[in-house]
Amino acid sequence: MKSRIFAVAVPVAAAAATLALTFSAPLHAQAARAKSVPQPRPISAPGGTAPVMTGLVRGNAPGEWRYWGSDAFSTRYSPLDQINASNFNTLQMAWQWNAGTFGPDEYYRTTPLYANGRLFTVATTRRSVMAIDPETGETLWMYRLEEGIRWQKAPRQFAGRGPTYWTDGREERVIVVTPGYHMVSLDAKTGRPDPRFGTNGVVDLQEGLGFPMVPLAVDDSGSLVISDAAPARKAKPGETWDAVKKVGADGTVGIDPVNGQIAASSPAIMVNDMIVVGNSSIHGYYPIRLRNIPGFVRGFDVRTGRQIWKFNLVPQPGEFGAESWERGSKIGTEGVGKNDAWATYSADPELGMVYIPVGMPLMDEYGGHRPGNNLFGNSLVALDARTGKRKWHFQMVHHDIWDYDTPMSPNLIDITVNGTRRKAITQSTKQGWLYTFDRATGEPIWPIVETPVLQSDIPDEKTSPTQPIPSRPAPYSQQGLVESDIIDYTPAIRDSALAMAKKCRMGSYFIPAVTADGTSRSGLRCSWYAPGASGGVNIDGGAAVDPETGMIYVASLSGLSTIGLQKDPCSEFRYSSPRDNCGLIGALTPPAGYVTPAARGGGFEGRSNASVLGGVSILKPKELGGITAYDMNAGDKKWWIPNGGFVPVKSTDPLFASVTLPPRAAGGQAQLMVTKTLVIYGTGRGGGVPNAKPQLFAVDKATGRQVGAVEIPSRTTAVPMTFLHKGKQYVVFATGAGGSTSLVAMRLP
Amino acid sequence: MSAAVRFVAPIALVVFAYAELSAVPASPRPATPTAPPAAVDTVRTTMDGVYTAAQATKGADVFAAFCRSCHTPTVHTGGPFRAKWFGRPLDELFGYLRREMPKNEPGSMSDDEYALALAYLLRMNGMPAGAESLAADSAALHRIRLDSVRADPSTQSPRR
Repeated sequence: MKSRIFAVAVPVAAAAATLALTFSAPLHAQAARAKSVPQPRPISAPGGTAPVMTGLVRGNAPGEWRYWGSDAFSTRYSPLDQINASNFNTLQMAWQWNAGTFGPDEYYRTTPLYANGRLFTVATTRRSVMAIDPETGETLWMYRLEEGIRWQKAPRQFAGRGPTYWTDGREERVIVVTPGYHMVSLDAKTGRPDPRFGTNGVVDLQEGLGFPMVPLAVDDSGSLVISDAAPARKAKPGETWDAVKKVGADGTVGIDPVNGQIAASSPAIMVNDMIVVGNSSIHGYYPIRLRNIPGFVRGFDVRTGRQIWKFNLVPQPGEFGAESWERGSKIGTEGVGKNDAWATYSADPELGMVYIPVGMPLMDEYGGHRPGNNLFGNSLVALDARTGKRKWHFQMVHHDIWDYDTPMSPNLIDITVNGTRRKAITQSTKQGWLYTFDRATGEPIWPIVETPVLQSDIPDEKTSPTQPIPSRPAPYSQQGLVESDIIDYTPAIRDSALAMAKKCRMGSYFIPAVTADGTSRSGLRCSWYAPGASGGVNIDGGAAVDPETGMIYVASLSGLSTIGLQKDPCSEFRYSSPRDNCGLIGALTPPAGYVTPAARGGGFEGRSNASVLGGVSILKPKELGGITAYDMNAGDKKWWIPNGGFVPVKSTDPLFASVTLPPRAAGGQAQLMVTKTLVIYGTGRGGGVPNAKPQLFAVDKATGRQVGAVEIPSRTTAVPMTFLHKGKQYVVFATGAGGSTSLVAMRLP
Repeated sequence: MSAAVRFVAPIALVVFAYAELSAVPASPRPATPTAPPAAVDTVRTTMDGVYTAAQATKGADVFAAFCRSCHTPTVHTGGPFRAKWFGRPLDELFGYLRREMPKNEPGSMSDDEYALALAYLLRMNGMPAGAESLAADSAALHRIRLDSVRADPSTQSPRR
């Protein structure tokens, strides 16, 4: 399993490793490059620019932001208070760093890091790494790995959520996991690859997983289609590269694509000197193939890039949890794939533990090919960061068919519960609940009760009889749809809304999908789906915690959509949400005479937002979604605010003529962090009051009262961060998509 | 390389059939009974310059922000897309997007964002920009036909 074949050259990658572009490299950087084999260094390094190692708090230096979530605990907390309620509205843009000049992206989902006087970020579909002068926004250096067709067919072609920073007090590294699944360790001062790490600074992460490595080729110049169509393939002997048409074999080596796809979009996390890195797999929306590469978590030595351990997120035969796959869990078995931990991770450096939020098994909406609970899908898994041994785990959704991947790093927080100080960990989720544990033992802080749930009536789908429901705290998103949720401003409104509600399967939570053609037992063509596949909490939002007070602030969606499944005739899966992959490269041939359905039965099946009556949601307005603050010492909700404000609701429908309609909360995933006194947030790429000017908001963290709002060039697209540089506090956030991505820095005048 | 260059796929390269947008949409469901939709009294087609170049450029960014994680641009321009949508009033495609997209959070974009994405879809399909903005207005969109020919054949330029 373990591969040490770092000598295997990856021609494209290795060649490109020398292409680190250096803009105005500081002169002292050259001198700082030691020639000897690196050893653990004393903390008091000579010179005025040594990075802080003493007084680290949760792995972070005071006033810095060394981890994606500020610190190893993923608190997204900063003790800074220069920017506060009295001056927030005077914030000005210090600079705007244009990432779009380096290339296009999806939406810019990166949170940069600040360490020892520099800002580090990733950008573009190539996930280039840059160091930026925090005061001026000048690019200090840039590094980009040319990955050939490993990039061309990468399942996650975007900048991703950020880089990783490490220092021992003398050496400093910035580590990136690329779209083509290489890991590169760069000198933080110069951007040059560390020659002692892997091969010329690069570790091929596709090595060491137990899959055969082969020369790769492509038949088309396009990217991988989201359904896993148009993949790369094993090259034929003697096959060459057509650089104009971008087809053929370019010398790139990788996992044989018959096994499936592998990628990454989140940074690795440092736990002391161990780099802990996972992967993402193919998207589970509309997959074609029943077998794919599952999730793994691995530990690598930060100085050498040597793989130290590997943990299988689909337990292999003989390993703990393998019996939760009733038809077998061996890689290559029908139904085995995903369970990828694609989110950011958290760690407790003192306990030496790393906490892995795990995604769901293959595929998103139908589990008939994989009966069983499917460990470690939808679990929070605590590993010993030195050995990769499992310390504890908790599965939050058994046999997921709702796309409830765990989307965000858990937040570590010390709280006082019933008079006892607890080292806790709380996981925010798509399904709208916080799951809270003792982070040393995994014992729930409040009971999490296995509760009977609705069962699927789709052929061969064996849903779990129960799901674990936290007794505390209360959820932050709408749960399912029951009669008491329906608007009842007048009897006529209630009748109409209830009639609409009853068109789809209703229930308290975890409502299984029905078939979109109405042939499953209920005869219905849709099920209510809340939270939906975007949460709850999802990749854009998530929680921040305040280590001083034990508060948690959760940014989430609260929506209501529908789901119904049908057979994609060109996929190996028996069911998926409505779609056909017919005609795509790698899809099955449709049955003779098959015609793409002319209609989907009225637009009310499949996934739809058809929960609106005359322009009014059939759901009663509730204090859900937006930003919810909980006191985690008690497990109580403290306050709630919408994401950026309220939106008037008007209807021209005569049904509502006599009613004054309450406003609705603005939608979208807020993107928040917490400081000494404030919760600072942006509305996210699709959030806030429609047509309002994009703003950055500040609320009093104790009360939720808005204390400031400043206009920004465009809406935030990732969680903001803050730091102190040359005595000034900055707030930096990513914004934009496509060709207009940038980082924006705000500071006081 | 600009986003525009990156995302505009030459139609000649289109090899994929595509299903997601190939289904014929149903009319938006009215809350209370209304008259059936009037016959298509289209006065223009999408070859008549019904969106601005600036809208399509912004639409490319909207596409990158909300659509590209599931949809590669090439799959919106193939034969199945033409077969399903050409000849239909544009409000049907607009309504489909607004009701069912993005898949993970249907209806979550603003009306303006749906209109920008629609402008970009039109540009992707080789339809020309013009002086007039595409409005996020179903009634106005109902009077535009999605098509590869201009409304008035006498003004039709020679087709390649």
